[in-house]
Amino acid sequence: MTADIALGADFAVIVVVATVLALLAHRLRQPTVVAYIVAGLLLGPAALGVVTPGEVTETMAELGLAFLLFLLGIKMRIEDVRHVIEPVVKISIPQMAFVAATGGVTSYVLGFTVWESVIIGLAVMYSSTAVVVKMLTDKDEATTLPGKIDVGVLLVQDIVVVILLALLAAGVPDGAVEVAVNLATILVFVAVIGVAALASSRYLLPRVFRRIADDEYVFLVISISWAFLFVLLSIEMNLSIEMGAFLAGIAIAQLPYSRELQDRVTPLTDLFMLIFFASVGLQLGADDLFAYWWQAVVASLVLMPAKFAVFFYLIDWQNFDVETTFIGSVNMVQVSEFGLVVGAAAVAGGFIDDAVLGFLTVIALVTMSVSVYFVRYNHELYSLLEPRLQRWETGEERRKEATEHRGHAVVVGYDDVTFAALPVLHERYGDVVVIDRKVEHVEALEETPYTAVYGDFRHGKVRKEAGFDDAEFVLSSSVEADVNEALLAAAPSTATVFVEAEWLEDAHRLYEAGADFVVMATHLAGERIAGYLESYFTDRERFERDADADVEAIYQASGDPDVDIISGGDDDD
Amino acid sequence: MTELLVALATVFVVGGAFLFIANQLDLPTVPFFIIAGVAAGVFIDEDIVLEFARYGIAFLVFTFGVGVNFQYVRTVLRDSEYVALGQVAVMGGLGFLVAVALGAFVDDVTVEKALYFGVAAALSSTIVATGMLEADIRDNLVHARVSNSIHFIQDLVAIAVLLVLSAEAFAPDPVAASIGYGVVLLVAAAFIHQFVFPMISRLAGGSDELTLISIVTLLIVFLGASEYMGVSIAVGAFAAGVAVRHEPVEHIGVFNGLESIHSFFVTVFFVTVGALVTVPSSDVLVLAFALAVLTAVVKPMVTVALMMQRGYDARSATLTGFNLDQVSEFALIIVIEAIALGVLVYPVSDAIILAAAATMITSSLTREYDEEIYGFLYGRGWLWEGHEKTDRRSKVADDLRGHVVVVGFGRQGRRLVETCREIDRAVVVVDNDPNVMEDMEIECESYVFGDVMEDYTLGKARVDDATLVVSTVDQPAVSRRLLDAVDGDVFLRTSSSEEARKLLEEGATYVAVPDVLAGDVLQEHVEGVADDPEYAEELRRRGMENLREILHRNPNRETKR
Repeated sequence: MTADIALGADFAVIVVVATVLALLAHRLRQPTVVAYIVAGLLLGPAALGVVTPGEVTETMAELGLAFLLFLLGIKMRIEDVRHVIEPVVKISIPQMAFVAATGGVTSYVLGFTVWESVIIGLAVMYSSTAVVVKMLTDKDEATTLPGKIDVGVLLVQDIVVVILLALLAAGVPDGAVEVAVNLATILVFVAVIGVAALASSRYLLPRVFRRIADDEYVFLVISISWAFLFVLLSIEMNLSIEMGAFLAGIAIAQLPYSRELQDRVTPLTDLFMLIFFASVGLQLGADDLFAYWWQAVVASLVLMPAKFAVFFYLIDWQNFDVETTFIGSVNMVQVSEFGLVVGAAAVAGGFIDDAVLGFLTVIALVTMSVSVYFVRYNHELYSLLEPRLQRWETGEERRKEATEHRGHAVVVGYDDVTFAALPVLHERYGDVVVIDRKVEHVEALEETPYTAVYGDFRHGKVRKEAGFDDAEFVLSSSVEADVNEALLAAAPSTATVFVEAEWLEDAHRLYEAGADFVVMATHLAGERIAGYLESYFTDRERFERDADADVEAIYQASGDPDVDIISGGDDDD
Repeated sequence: MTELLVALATVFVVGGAFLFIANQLDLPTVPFFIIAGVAAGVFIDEDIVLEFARYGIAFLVFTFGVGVNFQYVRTVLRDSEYVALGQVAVMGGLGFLVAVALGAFVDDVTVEKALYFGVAAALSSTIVATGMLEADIRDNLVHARVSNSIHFIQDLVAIAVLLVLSAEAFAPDPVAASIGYGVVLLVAAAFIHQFVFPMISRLAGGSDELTLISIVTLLIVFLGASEYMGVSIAVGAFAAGVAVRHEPVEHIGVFNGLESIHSFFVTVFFVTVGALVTVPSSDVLVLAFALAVLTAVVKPMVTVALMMQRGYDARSATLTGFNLDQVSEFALIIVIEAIALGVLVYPVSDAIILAAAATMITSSLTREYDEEIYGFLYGRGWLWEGHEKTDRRSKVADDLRGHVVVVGFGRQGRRLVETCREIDRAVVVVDNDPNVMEDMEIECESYVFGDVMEDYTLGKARVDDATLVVSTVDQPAVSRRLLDAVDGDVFLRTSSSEEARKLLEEGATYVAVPDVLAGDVLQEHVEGVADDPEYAEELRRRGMENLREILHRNPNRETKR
């Protein structure tokens, strides 16, 4: 029996081979991106020729880029990036002009025709969003100052790519008027979507997401739907789907719940990006690869230092400190996968032939593979070269990072259990950060002196935001033993950790795992009732006194009738 | 831009809109996805998203496999296999017969298709029910626990059904071959779990991304293997889940990540299921209606009958029935797999999908109003079971006075009985869980087996002559009932301080709120730790010692499942 709708063998083979290579690469301390591209090369026409990507694979590759940009969008809080917008624009426009010129002249010298050289110049001026954003996200540097500059420049480049692609698709233009009309149309569309995204983030999304943020599944799926809505809009308007996904992300980024979402979208992005990078490798045939191979190597060797120099000069010109300038530049030396897209469009438009596309592909591949190491070891490179870079130091610094929590108390879950402890923690440890997954709770906390972090403790981003690694006291009211065990494993060794457990054997496990104190609410209640049962019959006076105190505590805990904070320790479900 | 991408985008945009509506109305999401699919079916060609949808199936079953705990299977089998399997047999047979009978009026219903109809009638949904049951399961309520385990057993049955249905023909040899392949996959899974997976974890060396894609790769290898063997990918996915069933502490972030991928593909799956429905013909509607009636009306009746026969009280049986009155998502998986395997199931397929959407919604309503419906049925005398059973299973002296009535014979109930014994006070225990019946007979001098909501049970426990009634059951309906029925002092338990406040105002003598008590204790210890650095060490030592003592004193405590 054969299945009518079989799952794609191409997809399966790609994932399996890429995973094996990635595990190997990890052992050899190489970035996974290289492993993915190599997997594609290995399986594609360049080597074994066993895989031809089917529609599902191609779609997943497209989704990879869309999700990457969506994820990036979610990270872009406007208040955080506002201060780099102006320098970014000032850097990116001249950068593209200089690099395009370098690329064009180099190709001309290498023997390409004038038209070919122009197209090559236009194709090599972008740096790779996929490589840079992926690598920076992996290193958790996407929102550092150099990260923000790079991401900003990449976005400006993306906009230019979109415009250029639209122009190339129109074929050899009749005249300047047509070019202008095409350009204007595209810009208007981008502006329309951008305004729609920002307006909704202001007026529509807060209302929509306030309720659904409580349910992780609903939250994720509706966010993805939101991204796809913009993707559809972009397709309708002939814009790139990445642009739509990015703007959709930005709209969500302005909400207080966005950090939680980053951790939810990342795994999907990881999976699809694997397919994306593999399919870059899959596109290459041996003929195309080798037609101009030595020219491509020469061009790569010229372009990488040229890109670095241009970026370094321009970022420095915008008065960033030397480290930021260096890191921001060294990250960006590769040629983008968009260069290939531009090349392909140029082939379709009749500007260049396939061999030139092969030439561009080799450049992209060489520069991407090499630059992955530059990004990976950017800080090490900087420390190595720091003495020589000192003369660029101008003394003017633009950056100031946000303050971080330290020596504070982290409380997981805002409920009856933790409620009573909060004032004491505040008094003794000063800073108290409460992690909770309920929007309602987080809003209630805004009225208090405690800092609320919305999200699931299990997510790295959430822990980071709460300064978990620097906490002195950790208190968890989750009754899930797995969660608490993970918490104990992650908690700094110097911190005092109190956790809750529902069952005796869980409590035992948690003590073994290093908990300082395990509170067992159910057990405690059982003991208390048993105690009162006894005193009720043996010492009525004492019973009345003790029970009164308990009743007092109940009235206190249920104090604010507007806020239902009493839902048990279920915040980590 | 591929056509597929546009189709996927449409699936999500329409699905997201309906999901939002479901969320606003507090209704289950699955039926709304199906309806979204029906609506979006106009725009999308379901054939092109079907492959994505099958990954949805894979992840759905995979996640179920990951959650399977074999120790749990053993407890569950003891608990409710009779009801679970009895229900499958009765409903499956009934469904099959109904479909065959309808075949006389409706075109195109072959015996084979009637079989699918029977399967759909037999199984209930896990996703829809567990979502709503979680809190009750935690509180260890009888009906929640039983429904949960029935679902679990039925899901396992569904996997077996998938295995059998993927056989080339419904004859002994091919079926045996399929089962053989299934066993091979499971053995491979056990091997991988033991030897290969730990190795991969080590290789991935703490990188979430690598662990994640390694797990996805394992899943894909299993899917490929099952395709190669010619059995349903759901079987492969289940085996893959078993292969990586987790050590949660090490991989907690990874399994969170898997959840995202799961959510993505499962959404595509459910919307695609809806998109498969063509404009329903009258034939489809007749079949769907029949299946909906079987599921929403007949199935609860069968459940109630089976449970009451098994010794559960009418109320627990009814509430359980209302947790099982929906078509299972596994029935949907079976339909899609049949289509993917090239088996023509129309019009039964459309009927199953529509009935699933309808019953998942009605089920959430019956679940919400279960107590009311039970009250109505009971009031009409339809659930009357007489008092013989309560009489037969209870033991209370006729002249008992000044005693304590303890409601619920769980961990806390046992503790209270112990206390009464220590202070030499007579005690009557009331419970309705057949599983504790035997213990109650052995450990208690006086006990009543019956539903505390019923007057007869309370009378039997002689609450009017009792000095004190203590309830360990955290259920508002029970608490209110006791406050109404008892004149003397009442100790209650609840999980929320607000509810506690209301109960106190309504006359409870004392209400224990575990979280508030825990909060008090925590506050004290936080102060201690902050003031004295030695305190923490001492606290830990004492805590462990204390725990050891409890465990020692109480070796046959009720264990968690």
